[in-house]
Amino acid sequence: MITVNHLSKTFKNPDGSVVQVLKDVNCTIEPGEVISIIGPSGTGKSTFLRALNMLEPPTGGEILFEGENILAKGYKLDKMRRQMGMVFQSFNLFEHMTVLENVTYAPKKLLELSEDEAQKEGMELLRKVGMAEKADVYPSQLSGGQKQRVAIARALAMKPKAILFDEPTSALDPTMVGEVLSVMRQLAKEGMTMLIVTHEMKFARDVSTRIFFMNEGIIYEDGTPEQIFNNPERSATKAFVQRIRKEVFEVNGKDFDLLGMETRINCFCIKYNISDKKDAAISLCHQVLPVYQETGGNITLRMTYSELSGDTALDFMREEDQAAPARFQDESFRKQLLSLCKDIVEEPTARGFRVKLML
Amino acid sequence: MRQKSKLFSLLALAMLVFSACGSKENEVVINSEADLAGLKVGTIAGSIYDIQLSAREDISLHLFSSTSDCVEALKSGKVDALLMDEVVFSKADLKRLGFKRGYQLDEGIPSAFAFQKGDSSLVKSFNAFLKEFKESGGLAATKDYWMETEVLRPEDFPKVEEYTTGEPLRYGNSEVLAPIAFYENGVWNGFEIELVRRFAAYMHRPVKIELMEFASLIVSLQMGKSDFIGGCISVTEERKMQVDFSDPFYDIHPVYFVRDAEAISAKSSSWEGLVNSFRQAFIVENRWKILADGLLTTLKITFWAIVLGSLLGIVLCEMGASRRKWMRRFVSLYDAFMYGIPMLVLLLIMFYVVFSKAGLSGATIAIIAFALNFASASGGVFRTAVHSVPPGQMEAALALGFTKARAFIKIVIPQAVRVGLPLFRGECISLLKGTSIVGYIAIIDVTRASDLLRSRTFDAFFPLLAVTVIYFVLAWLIGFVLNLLNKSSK
Repeated sequence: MITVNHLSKTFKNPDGSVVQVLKDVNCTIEPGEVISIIGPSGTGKSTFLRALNMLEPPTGGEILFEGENILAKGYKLDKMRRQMGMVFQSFNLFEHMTVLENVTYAPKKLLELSEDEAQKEGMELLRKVGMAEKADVYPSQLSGGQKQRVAIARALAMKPKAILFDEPTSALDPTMVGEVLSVMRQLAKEGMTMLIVTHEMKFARDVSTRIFFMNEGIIYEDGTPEQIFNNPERSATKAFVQRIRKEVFEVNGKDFDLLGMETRINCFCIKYNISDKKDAAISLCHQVLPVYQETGGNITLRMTYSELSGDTALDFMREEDQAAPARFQDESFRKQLLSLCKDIVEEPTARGFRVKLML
Repeated sequence: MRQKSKLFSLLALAMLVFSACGSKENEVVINSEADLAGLKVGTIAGSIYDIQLSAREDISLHLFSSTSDCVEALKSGKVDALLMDEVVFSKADLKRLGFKRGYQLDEGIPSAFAFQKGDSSLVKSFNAFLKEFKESGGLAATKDYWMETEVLRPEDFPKVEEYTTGEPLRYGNSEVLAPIAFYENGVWNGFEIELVRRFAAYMHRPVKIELMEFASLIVSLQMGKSDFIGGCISVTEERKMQVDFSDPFYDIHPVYFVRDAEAISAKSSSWEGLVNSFRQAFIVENRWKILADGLLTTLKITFWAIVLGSLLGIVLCEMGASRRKWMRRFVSLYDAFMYGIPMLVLLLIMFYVVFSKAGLSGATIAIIAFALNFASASGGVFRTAVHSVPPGQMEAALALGFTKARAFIKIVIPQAVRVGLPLFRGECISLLKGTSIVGYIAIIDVTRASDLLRSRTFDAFFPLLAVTVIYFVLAWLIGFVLNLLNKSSK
């Protein structure tokens, strides 16, 4: 239904500098798909979604909607938008209209529905999102969750082929997120084509047929929820879905500030509430670092913690290495280390070789 | 709030009534120049007396812009004496006002019409006409009729042949007082006016009489707005430098007028007095028609200035939101300009400089000037109103499939109106009140009309009360109409 080729978008700052938010986005969206778009903030998720219905005109590439390039000159944008609903983070209900009018206004004006038809359909949709009771109320009297449900009904009233959701729960009180997500779940079940920019990982995992992980202005990884959440192919994806936090030290030669390192490890452990691992981590560093320092080179020491799984690890990496330093073959040394950590993983990486100590 | 404003207007009315009835009763006697010492003397600003009196250091000089203001000042005791032309007050006037004549200056001062400097042909024609008219005895008869008749009745006014084709002679008149020149039933009359009419007939040309402030008369002549000017203009050496005078046709006799204590104490300030002064102000000779005409003029200027100004305001609002820097800069410059100069100055610039040769009527120029000013004000209102609507509303409408124009009209404007309407109403009302200055460019609006009534009756109370009420009602009406528009648009 929608095909995106080499989509790019650059913004010009008032000071003249140029920011490229979307670099090269490619994807195909088929009818009935429910796609969640996840990724760190500032990587162009919302910009991509808003480009799809031209609220944010892209600067390059093409978007084909049902085979036609919507970026072409003379393309009837308003006709396309009628078939592609949108739900906003800030709801954007028409403040001067009642709930029912919000839902019936566009069908009356754009689909030329009679007042009666529009009202009948509007009430049905409001019933569906649980807002029929508030049909004659103005938006200012509704809670955030209620507003968002009305906004979904408003989008549905145009009988769109797809709906774009731009962080639909980000502006909501945690207590109201559930009611909106359950309406969206129901829609997904009914087979509505949906694109959802969201930070609700559990929801994305449960409801989506596909996940786009966006990073650095592109769709960094694209796959089923199973693939993305359980077996991500790329480390940035993994870091994101497992919510991995890290502290990195560059160790250059013998003069490295060990005491400074201890302080930073201490802070990291306090920040993520893993102070029980602090002593072991520091002790391991004191034992392993000299092994590396003997042979020289630039050593990267990384302490990581996954907020999702609770896994904590110390990574030692050196670019010149093909294998772990010889000392790791020594049984007594390994035993000594294993008394402080659960496991020692030795693995090659794109750049050099890594020894991972699982705490 | 509403209660308070009612109370306040009642209080203001009461003050007006008291000021109309009460006056001090200390008799001032002026039998010679020496008696003037230490007195407060009033006269018209820019007149020949102004120059004479300002030479004396032992009196305090008070200058006013019109005869009726002078009268009010003497009535209310703000001044002790007025130096004015003898002909200003008839005996009946003096009796009614409670004034009497004091010391009279010996020599008369010749008075004439003034023409554009260097344009000798028209002056020559006038002098030839005057000579002929004098020799035929017409001048003496005319003078006699206007100056000596006890009660001037419109049905007795001399008829003068009128021409309707050809280029009109434009006569700028500053004086509004019987019997020299006065405005009644929509027509100018009086001694000088009859001379003007006879001269026009002599020239076989129609005539156009325009009312101006004394101070702007000479400017008007120099700018070519008028062909000749009059209104008790005395011939002085200084003025000869700037204009060419015709041969003088009558003498002005300056007289000091003072309050007559006897007459004042005899004067009744009863209900009957009020009724009588009401009759004098509005009923006699259908004087209310002057006010009605003025009201129409005020409405016309206000209405068109609002309509044109709003259209221009929309353009300015659009330009202010433009992506082009020079457009935005133009708008902020325009706003700064309109904000920074007084409306009256803008009006005078338009009348005397920008459109001095354009041949537009005063009312048209006033509409243009007020519309230009209103454009800035309304543009600001529109900008504020549109900005008050969150941009998400527009996006939501676009996302539903409305075109940009339709989304703006159907979604943004209805919400912007809520914020903008009270502001817009305020601007409209201040425009309405602002139009009261158009008298400066020879337009008789409702304010100027009340000036005319005052100068005819020398009574300020009812004419001022009438304009107060008229403006109050109009302001309320504007609010009412705009609210109605707002409701019907919902």
